[in-house]
Amino acid sequence: MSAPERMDRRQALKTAFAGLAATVLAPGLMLVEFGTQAKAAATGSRWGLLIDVSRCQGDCAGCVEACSKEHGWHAEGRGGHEPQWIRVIKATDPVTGQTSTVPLMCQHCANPPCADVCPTTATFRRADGIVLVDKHLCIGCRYCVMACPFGVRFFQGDDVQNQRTNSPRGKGTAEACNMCVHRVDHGRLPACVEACAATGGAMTFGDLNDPDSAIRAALAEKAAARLRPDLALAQGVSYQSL
Amino acid sequence: MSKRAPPLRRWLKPLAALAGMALVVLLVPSLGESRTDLDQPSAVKTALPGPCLLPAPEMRRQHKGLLYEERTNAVRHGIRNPETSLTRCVACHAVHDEAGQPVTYEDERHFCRSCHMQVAIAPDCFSCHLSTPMTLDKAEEKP
Repeated sequence: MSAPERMDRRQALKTAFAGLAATVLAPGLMLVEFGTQAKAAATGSRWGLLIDVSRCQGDCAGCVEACSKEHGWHAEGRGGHEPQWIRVIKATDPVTGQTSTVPLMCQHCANPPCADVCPTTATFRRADGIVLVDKHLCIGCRYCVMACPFGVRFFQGDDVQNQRTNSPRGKGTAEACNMCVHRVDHGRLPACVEACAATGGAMTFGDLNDPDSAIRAALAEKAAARLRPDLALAQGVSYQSL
Repeated sequence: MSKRAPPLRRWLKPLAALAGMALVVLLVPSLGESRTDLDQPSAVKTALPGPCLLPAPEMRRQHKGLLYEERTNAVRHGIRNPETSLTRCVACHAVHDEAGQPVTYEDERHFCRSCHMQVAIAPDCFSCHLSTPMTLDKAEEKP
């Protein structure tokens, strides 16, 4: 057996395998191409919301209306089971009797109990801190609704018609405030924050990890607190003057 | 030790087999395309405003995989491609009724439904997603 013949065989094998690999792999590679054009949710960010309760005018409800319009949910007064992605509650100090109105929505915990109990990983925390329901995976078990200490997750039990394009919602899935993730991904403010700026200006949205952001400036100015600090959930939403 | 055949002749059979396998992999999917003159759902014949992401035969085969990729990227990783999203599919492929309004998935003429009914596969995209294009006032709210 001479050297040139051995090269021939090696060459022939190489060509055959390359051809076969290209045939088998090409359709799979094509799928990957589509997903990589845009930027992933910024991993360095931690989106947060700061609400100055002293600037919240209780009877305004601009944030609630804006959320309802943006996501297409409607509270029809049928009780606590219908979706209210954001609601304004009245909080009274039992000692002093001082009353404040508090907008309450998903607190976007760093250690979310809802995601802990989800049996299908449908509820998850995105790299930038936003807690979401992947409704493609949700089986409607309602564990997360029970696990949330703030009562801000809901189960959609009715057929939904005329959904918003940017906010798909359907029967048999859990839902909650998603911090208007479709807006945030395009560099816009959540609907409630945008609406609040026009009235009271009580809400500040921004990146908690960015020292130059407006939310960090507001936090440095005035003491803020998270709800139920005893649970150590490290929420993204915090309140001032509460 | 018996005399071995020259290398090329020895590898002829395996090479032929490999080539045959490659040929089968390449040809089998395209066999389906030769059936284009069979009964087709109305939507397949509808003219579209422009080219799709891939040629039609490839879209027919791959759209489920593309949609799956797209939704996983968008929902779980925040990677949004408006040009390859389901919203864009619905916008281009809208079928309009006599009054000029886009039909919903409830209507048998809906682009997705017309094919899926024929092959008896029910997609549940539209139990949550809007099956018609964004209306103008909603489009204004888009970035």
